[in-house]
Amino acid sequence: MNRMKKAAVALLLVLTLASVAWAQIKKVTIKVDGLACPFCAYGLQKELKRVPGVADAKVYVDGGRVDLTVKNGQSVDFDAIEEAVKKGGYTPRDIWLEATGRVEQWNGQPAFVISDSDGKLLLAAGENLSKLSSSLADQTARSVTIAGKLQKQQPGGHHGHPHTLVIERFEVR
Amino acid sequence: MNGRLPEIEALVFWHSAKSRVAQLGYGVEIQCSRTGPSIQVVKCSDHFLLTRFLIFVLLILILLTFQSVIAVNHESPSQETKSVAASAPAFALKDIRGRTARLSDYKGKVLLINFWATWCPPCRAEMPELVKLQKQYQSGGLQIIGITLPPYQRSSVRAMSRHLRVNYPLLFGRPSVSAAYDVGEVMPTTIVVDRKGRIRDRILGILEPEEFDQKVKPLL
Repeated sequence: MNRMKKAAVALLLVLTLASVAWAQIKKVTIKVDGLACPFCAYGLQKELKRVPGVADAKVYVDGGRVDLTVKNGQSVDFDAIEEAVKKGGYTPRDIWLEATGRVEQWNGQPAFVISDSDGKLLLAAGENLSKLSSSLADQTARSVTIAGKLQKQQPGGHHGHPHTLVIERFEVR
Repeated sequence: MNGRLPEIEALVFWHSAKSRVAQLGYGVEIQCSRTGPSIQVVKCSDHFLLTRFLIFVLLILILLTFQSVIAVNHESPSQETKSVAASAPAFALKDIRGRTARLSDYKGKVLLINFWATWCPPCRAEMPELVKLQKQYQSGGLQIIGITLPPYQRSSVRAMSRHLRVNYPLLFGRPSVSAAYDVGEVMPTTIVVDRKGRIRDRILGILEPEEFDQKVKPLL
């Protein structure tokens, strides 16, 4: 009986750890203009939950922001998120992201590849990218968690072309 | 078991929906459900204590019965609302041209009664789609009715109607109407009414194409 209990606890622990490991996009926050009516929040939430990869959307009317939960092992199309906000009658502003992945080169530029998904973001040049590059040295296979702000697509940019992420903080494991 | 217990047993039996009298005298177990409290008896050796305990239990039962009555009374309004919701509540509201529109004016049509507000961004975002649906399915018997939730400025509603070229009636709502339709704290809310005037569905938030296909098209 005790052995069964131990096995059950071990299985539970493994499943818990696995689910944490799969959640590679930890957080997506969208700043939204015009969020003033609590009764209207459901409309926006409904639109965002229709975007593939979005598990849940929490609307904070006071903070004028929406926090998205991304499905385990999936990425989200940030253009689709912006479209959903517009379809919900609001104006999307900045999008913040916190995710785990690895850094690699994409068309000669440093890119952040989100683990266990096809999500890819170009990394904006700057002091934090230099620090990250130094931390990684030659070990680009190392897992890194990056929090930062997505830069808007340049006018005339291709749909499906990676967004650019401006690193605000990072942690190399 | 002593001679005083049968009286208590009778009371206990009165409170119980099941015939548990034969088991009385061995202890007590209380169960309370929405249908009322009931008692089940388990082992107990001290009759004096048992009697006192039964009295205590009876007092609790009286209290629980009282609470059940309150709970039932409290539920009555929502049950009433549900029965009202079976058929669409009648209304008579002014439209943006000052004419009175009644629910009975649209008898025999499939209605989408869209509760919206000028100050609700998703409601405004939804309206162009509703205009398209009205145009496409009008011949099939669809009639969309927009009811504006207060507070509103009549001039703003008229301006929006012109700007979005709204092709369905926009009526100035009253709180009593939205209450009759049980419109809660979600906007927009669209009520689907069939040709017989019965409420068939309630769509919260923007009406999505697949929701229209699933919930409205079969009624046309």
